[in-house]
Amino acid sequence: MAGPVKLLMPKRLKPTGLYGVLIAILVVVAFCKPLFANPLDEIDNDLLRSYTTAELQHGAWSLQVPARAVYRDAMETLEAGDTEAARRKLMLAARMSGDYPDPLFALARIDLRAGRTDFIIHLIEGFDREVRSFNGQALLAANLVIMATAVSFTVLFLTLIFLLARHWPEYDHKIREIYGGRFAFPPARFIGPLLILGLLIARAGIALYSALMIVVLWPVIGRREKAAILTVTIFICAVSVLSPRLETLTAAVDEGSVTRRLAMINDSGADSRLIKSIGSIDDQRFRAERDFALGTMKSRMGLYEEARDHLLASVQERGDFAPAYLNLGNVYFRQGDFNRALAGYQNVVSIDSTSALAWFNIGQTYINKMLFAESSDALEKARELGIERYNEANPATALIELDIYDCGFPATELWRIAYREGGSGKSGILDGIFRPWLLFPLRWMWLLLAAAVTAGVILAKNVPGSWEVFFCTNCGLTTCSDCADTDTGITLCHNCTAAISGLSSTKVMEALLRHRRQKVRSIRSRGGWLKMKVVPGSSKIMLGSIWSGMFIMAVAACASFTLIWNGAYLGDPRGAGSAAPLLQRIAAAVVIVLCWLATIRSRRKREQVNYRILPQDFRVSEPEDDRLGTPQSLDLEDTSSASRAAPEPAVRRRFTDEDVKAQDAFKEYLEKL
Amino acid sequence: MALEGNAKDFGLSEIFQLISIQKKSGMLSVSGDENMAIFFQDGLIVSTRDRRARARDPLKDYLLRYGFIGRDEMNNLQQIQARSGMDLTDILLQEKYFSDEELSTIFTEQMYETVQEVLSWPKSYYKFVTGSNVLVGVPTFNALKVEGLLMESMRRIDEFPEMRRIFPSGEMVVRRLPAPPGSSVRLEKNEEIVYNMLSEETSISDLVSHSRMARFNTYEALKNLLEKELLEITKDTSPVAEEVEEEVLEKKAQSGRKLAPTLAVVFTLIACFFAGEYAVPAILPPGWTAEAFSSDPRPSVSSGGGMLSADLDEFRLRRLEATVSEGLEEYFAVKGTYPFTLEVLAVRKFVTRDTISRVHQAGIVYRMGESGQDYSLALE
Repeated sequence: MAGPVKLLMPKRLKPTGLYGVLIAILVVVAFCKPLFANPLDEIDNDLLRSYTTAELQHGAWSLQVPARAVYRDAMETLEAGDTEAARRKLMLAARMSGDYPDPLFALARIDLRAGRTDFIIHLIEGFDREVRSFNGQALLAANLVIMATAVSFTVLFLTLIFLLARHWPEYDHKIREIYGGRFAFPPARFIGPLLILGLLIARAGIALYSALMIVVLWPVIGRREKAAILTVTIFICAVSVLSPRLETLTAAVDEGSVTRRLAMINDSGADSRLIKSIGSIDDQRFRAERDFALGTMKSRMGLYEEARDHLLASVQERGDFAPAYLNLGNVYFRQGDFNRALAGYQNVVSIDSTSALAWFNIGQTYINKMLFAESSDALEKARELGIERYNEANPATALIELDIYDCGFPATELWRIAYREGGSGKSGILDGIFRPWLLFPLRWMWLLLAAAVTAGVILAKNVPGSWEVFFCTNCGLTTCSDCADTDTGITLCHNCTAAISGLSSTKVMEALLRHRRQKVRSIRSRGGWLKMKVVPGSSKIMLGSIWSGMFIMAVAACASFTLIWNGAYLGDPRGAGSAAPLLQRIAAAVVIVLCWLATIRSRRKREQVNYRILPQDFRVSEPEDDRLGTPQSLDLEDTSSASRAAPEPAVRRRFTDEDVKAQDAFKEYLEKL
Repeated sequence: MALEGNAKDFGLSEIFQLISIQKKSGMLSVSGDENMAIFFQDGLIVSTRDRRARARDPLKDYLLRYGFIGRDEMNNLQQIQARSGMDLTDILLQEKYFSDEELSTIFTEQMYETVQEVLSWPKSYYKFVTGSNVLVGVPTFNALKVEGLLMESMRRIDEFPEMRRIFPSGEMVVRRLPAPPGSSVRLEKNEEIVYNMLSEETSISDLVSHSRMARFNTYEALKNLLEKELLEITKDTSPVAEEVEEEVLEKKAQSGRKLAPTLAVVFTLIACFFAGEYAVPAILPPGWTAEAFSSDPRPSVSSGGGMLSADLDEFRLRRLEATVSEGLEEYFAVKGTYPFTLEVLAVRKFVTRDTISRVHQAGIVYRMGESGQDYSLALE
């Protein structure tokens, strides 16, 4: 409908009831020209104005190209400092295209800086435009899927790495034991890292590494960790299984696809280039849609005969294709054949009774047939069904006088086309994005991960008892059944046992165990900084809070990818001249920093440092003092053969009762002498 | 203010007496041939063990020197001391090396010897720091009166040269003699111990290191035994060099097994590298097209038949072309003609410079039509 009109009611004309008033209003509205100035007049550039007018005349209800030009001009004006002029231009740009959100976002920024609350409205409308159009939906969906998949793989891989780092001592212990018992060089402590280095050198891809880590880690990780790993794995498996279907998104965003070509009729006015592009579609599955698009284009160009032929072919191919009937009706309308036009529109409402466009066009047809009552009903029906939404979605329709509205491809129809085109799974764009990193087909990832989990479960159930590794009660380091000592009533590792070997005093043993415990704790807290704090979320995982660690990791990964991809992996070709807003980059960087701060603030729980570790009932039996020997009696007359009664050098001598008795005996002997 | 000065000006014995008379508590630090510390509590000497980190522990030396504890045993005790943070005396008592009484005796003898040594330094510098706080953590077993200690020390200082005259060298070998028949000999405790140890010929240095008593006491015992004709100095007899069996530390068995595992590790790493270079790309190549899995191969070139991009490169190429096309359209809308070159789009900021450079890298060629009202954009 035209813009707001002013009714001029002669005083002599007295409406006979409400019915007559309505008829009069409808007539005036149908035939009166708007009295307000045309917004196109606000375009400063004459060339742009004529281009825009030409586009409108060629049926472009979304003036994206002129809107972008006006938006660019507005941003230059804003940079020059003239905020009000820029604001006017942005409003114009917003009115020229119903699916171009950038002017509204810019208006929101201006209003926010100026302290106006209108920024909320502009922001909401901007987001609404972002998701309303098929192009916006397709880009958003594709980017969401790519981001979610990338983040999932990142989180899974990094989580497995840090879980491996956390549980590495359990593996390293056995490797060292087995290797160290046989070979002396290279040192046993290097064998584990060398194994990992070898795997990394092979560069087998994230997929295989992740699967391998799942198999290796499953026997040692706890339930919560298993649940967390399984959650991410299930999501990735779902993406993998659905990847053939997700290729629908490829069709929706591939600029050369049938879907995108057909969608162009919603965005652009008719021109030969577009007609040629659509005409070159030779996929027989989309013959009806192709004919519809060609018919619509030619109708906009005034080639009604050819348009009629195409549209008839389309409806013959697809009997339920409502938009084709609508545009066919429009062709007849423009040719003056209102009966056929009405038939076409009636077909539309018989297929889709909620088509506001059809009811509006019916109303207009009835007006031309002077059937005002029917027209009134139809127009009322159109209003009830929301014809205003069409105007809001296509604000350019307000810039030109239109009797009837034609129909492009609805977003749902375009999604169906995309599904049919890409849903067979033959294409591999998603696979192509992730293959260089995974080195494994995305569609088979579910099989690899399922096999890894299964292998891990089997391995966990069949680990030999001798391979079981547990932790020293004192220092917390790993030990196993081969090297652990339980004589003290607690499990002590080899080093703790060696520290107290040969001692008899519980107090000394406690002191030595405490010292070792504190020393190990100090070394562990110092040396773990790098692996705990280098990646956001890593410290949480290392300290056992796997869910919060994975969450932080996911958020940081999202922000990182946003920075790397300058917002999204797939940018909008129609917004290519504008770089990603600085605020977006700053926000992403701030998120990463906040995640990292949350990571470095993580601390191990403070454990009690000084406590008794040995059981209370632990006592060391008195050692048999067999090194002292029984002092021998001396024969003062025979000095050569007497054995030395003095203790051996470097032998621990203790003064026992026997020593004292021997000394007393000797004294008595000397006294006798 | 601490009491300090040079022993040449004011003798150490006078300092000792001063501290004793004043019943002071504190630490007397003496620097001469070495650094020693003597702790006083209420005028009594309670310890000569300096607890400072770099100071040597005279008790350890005493125990080692006179054979109370062997060297290996002492190393073990030192390790226990370092790890546990306990004092040596605590460990000795806890591990029942000595009883309280025995340790007290040893401690006392050690103090005597230390003070004797300090008093015999020709030059020394002293500094006395008063206060009971310096005694915190100092283990004590006995408190000696300064007068008695000084008297004993002086006695030892006076008598030891005579003993050294009799026994000038530690390499001298002595042996015991049986008691003359008919004589009743009474031996002191130290003399008994030394006599017991002389069942064979022994050098004096060996005797001192195994006697478990201070050097002076050993020498005194030898002198007394000599006087009692129970000892004989073996002359012109080379001391039997006691073979000190040193423990030979065996090297860790490096039984020739270094080479095999090293080579195995190196070969494994090399194999992994070549696997990553050749095997992995062959089995799991990046950019592996869908044709490998599909029985319905698609044409790889999308030529306007509305086909989906076969791979990511073509997909990106199409998006690049669309980006440039949109920029060209926008330029046309504003200028009424298409640009002569693509760089104009970058200059006017219709597209980014990065886009233009990617276009050139992709081999896309732009040509403006003759009238400027059309253009061609094609891949060459």
